[in-house]
Amino acid sequence: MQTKTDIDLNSTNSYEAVVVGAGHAGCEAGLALARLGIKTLVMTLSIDGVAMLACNPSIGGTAKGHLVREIDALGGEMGLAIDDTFLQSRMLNTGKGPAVHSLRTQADKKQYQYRMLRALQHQDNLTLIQGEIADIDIKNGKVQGVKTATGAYYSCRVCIIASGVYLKSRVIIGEYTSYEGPSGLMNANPLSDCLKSLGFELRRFKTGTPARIDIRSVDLSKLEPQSGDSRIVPFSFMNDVLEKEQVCCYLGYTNQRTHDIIRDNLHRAPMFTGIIEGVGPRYCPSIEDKIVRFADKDRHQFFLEPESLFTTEWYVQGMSTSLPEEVQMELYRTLPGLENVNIVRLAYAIEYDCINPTMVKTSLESKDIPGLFFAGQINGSSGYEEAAAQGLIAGINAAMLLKERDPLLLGRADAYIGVLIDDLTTKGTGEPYRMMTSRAEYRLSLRQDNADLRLTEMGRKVGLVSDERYTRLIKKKTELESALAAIDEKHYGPALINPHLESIKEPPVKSGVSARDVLKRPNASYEWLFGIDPSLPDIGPQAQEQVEIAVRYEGYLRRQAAQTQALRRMEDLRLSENVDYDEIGALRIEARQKLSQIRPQTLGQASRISGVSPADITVLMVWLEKKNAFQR
Amino acid sequence: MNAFFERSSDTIAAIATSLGRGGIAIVRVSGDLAGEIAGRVFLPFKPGKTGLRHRVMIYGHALGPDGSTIDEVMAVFFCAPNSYTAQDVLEIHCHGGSEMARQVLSSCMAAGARLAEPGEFTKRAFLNGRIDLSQAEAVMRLISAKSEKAARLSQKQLDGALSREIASLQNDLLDIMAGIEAAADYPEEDIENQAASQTFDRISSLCGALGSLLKSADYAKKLQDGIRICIAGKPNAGKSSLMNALLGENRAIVTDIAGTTRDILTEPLNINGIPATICDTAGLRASSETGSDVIERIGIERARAEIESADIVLLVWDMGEPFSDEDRRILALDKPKILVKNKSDIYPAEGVQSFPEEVASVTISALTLEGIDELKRMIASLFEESDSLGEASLTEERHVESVKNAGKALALALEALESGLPVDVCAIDLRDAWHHLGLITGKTADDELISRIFESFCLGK
Repeated sequence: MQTKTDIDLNSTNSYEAVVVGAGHAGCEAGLALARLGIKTLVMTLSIDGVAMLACNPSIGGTAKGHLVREIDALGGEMGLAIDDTFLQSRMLNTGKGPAVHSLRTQADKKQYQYRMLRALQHQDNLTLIQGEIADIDIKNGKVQGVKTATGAYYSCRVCIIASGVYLKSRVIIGEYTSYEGPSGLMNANPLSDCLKSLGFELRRFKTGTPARIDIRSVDLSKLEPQSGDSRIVPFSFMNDVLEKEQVCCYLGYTNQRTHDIIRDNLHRAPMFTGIIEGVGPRYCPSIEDKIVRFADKDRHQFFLEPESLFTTEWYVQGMSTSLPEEVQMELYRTLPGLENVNIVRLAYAIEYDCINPTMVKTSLESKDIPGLFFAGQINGSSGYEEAAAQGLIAGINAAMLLKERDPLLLGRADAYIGVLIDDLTTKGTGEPYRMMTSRAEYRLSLRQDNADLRLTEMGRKVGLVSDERYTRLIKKKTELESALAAIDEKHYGPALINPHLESIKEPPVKSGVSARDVLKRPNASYEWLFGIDPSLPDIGPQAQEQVEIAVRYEGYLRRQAAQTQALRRMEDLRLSENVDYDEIGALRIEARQKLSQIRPQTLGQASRISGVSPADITVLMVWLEKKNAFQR
Repeated sequence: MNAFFERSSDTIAAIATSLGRGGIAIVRVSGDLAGEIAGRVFLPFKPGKTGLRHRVMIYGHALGPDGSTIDEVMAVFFCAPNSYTAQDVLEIHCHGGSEMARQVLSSCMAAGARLAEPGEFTKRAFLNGRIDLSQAEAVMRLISAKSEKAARLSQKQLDGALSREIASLQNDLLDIMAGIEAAADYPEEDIENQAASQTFDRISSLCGALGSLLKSADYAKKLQDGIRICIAGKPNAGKSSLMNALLGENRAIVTDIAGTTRDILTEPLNINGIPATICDTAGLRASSETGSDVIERIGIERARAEIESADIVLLVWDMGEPFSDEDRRILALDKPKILVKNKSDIYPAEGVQSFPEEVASVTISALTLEGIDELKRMIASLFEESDSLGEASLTEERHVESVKNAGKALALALEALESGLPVDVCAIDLRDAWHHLGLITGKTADDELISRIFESFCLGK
């Protein structure tokens, strides 16, 4: 190996950054690095697997849609790619508050992959190569390069591990098991051992996917069609309107026969036979799991979703299973409309290695090995959007490290991405981690509609936000500010406003009201008010939405703003990595151990570690103040 | 989120002396509002005197939030930076005993102060450069030890009915939240979408439960007289004689006739520096023995209730008599108790009867006072061990504050729902309420919500 290394050590094998993997994390990481001017190599096991949507054919959804918006606002690729390739788009939760409005699209898997592949292969500074990274070369505690399984050596100064579910992955279908990656792709074994030898604590997680079926064998008339929104909201803030002929999805329900078959075959289910060792996610249970855990439910819903316009394969959402092949056949054929269904790809469970994410910093750089970053499922997360978000942050911060600039650290009050990374790196995770709106305590402030207002400025500072994107932000901000100022100034007498209020079924007023007060009415909109008073600023729909939310949820937004400010104060108190917590006698022993283990970067992060009490934080603060150990 | 830092510029207040001991209790207030609070809580006696001056102690009245007089007090003001915390500091010196001080503290809080965290005065003193590192380190140990003690106390209180109720309210609240969150995170699942009106009803019933909890939880009562000692035993065992012996005066009527003491006789008492209330109860005997004496029977019922609620029970046993079932029942109670073997003047040899070995016991003569000092010493040490009232009161004050805050948050949620805001927005208030209750039960981790969602609903693709 050494001799080959010596021969190959020429300029073509020399990069500044290497990204291991070209899934959703790897793609964002590679693009971010290259766009920030870093000479980047992205290495993937298979170029056919670039940006593969290995599980469901959809991007977005509750909380995940927020992540896509945030990736877009920072200058990432996912939002643009899905806007180009979606098959159906829906805004979920429109009957609820703006915090939980979530955009969800059905993706054309094939188109999405090629769209992303084009972005990578046409990107300056970026080289995409097929191959398996088997070893990371660390000397003097620093990243020197990577070695491939076939013997090539690529030098680099930073390396991002975005290996997805491929490390020592094992596919399980009933009694059958096979060490391979998803969808028949190869897996990666040596890298797992390499990480272990570098001191990373590995754990085994599990996830699963349902069967893909041939839509030609389905009687769709027995299912309930689900169509997309008539007005499509784009994911990317760069797009105003999208027009597209959308495809339908279909909804159906399991029945007693489905459940009987599962119960009769439970003894063959890997989750009960003990074949599966990994920890699976609670939020993504297999159908057998649902039937065992919620035995009193007499039916469960399932959705049929198209995988691509180029194929006849459809995804059966809700029917993930790892039961044996013949049971799957029987099982799927109990579903209405699927009586004669042909399975194209079997459902399976997959186990894989990932690291304990408390071993990485909030910048996603290893706490122990400078220059080594981790993003995506390797950190114990699950989901394309969660992976892409981490990939983007790891890519940005690897670039910042090379440029000797401060890392981009998003906090819980800044973005869902901040919540995601803080949860993973501070608390760790006992199961594959999925983003949920319930995890974001400041979710009324962290809406999908204001991701650009929250983050684009930061993306600009980093260098990922184009002039065009930045100009759009400034325009939206200016419009918003002018409208917010105007609605306080404009007042209307009862004679003028009451007929209009009546027309939208709002009670009349007795005396004059400001435009702001009028907009507080649930049925009022800026567009409607602008129709009455054209002297109001003429602003775009995105700014209109911001004005309406700002007015309607004013009290709550103000409270959240106060809370987030308090949080930020805690996050501003930075802790040195070299604090010797054993030296602080007044800390409880459990707190000392936890703090030494996690090595929090801020006092805020320390306060969220389980086992560290408020009294410990007080002790810590007093001690640190005196030692002047804060790095302000 | 650590409340400590969110509000470090707030004005804080606490009872600075340990409760339940000493003749004077000091309520200390520190922060910008100290002067304003002094104006509202303290009224100088001397007509014409308008207010407090730096380091001058003044005699006057402490006032409640409604302007009523709480107590005659001495008050002193320290202007920043020449005070313990280097902030404006007000100290009100009340009469000892916890109730007055608690009322004064409540009044200060009504006037704008918030309850101080353990060690917070010292923390401010340190941060403002009033004390040095070695002093600060000593204080930190104290904070740490105190908070552990407080945690232990909370745990103890968690065993009580009140805390069980709070835990159950928190549990109900979590169910409501999980329903809202599950519907928000899984809009396509066929979860029964809780109608807003149903959520409203559930929240308002929780709100009512918190309100009645506050009313019924008369924490002050338990504390006002310090530790409560109950003398129990069979008729004519010498209970009233023991009471007189402990009081050092003939307060209880002592006769040879069984059943002389018919009602509870209560007297304040100081045992080796510990304020206490001692009560003599009617002798316990089966109703078959009391005959038709209704009054005595009522007395016995009251005695049993008193024994239940007492902090320490002294079971008086006439060494010449057999152990009764009542005696055994009292010895089996799960609370501090002392077996007082009486009439050593008549039965000098100990061990006439066998009794459970693990019970602390002392041989006395209520007549000759032999063994009384030893008994007092034992009571004092039981008090020390029992982690009793002194510190618990602080935690309880905190609990009251938490319950109040939770109630306020729920009221905001109801207001929001009434004004037509979506239910996921008022989830912010519910989360607040849940966190406040969690300060009592120790359950504040957000993971609980996520767990509850997946326990209660079948979700996922």
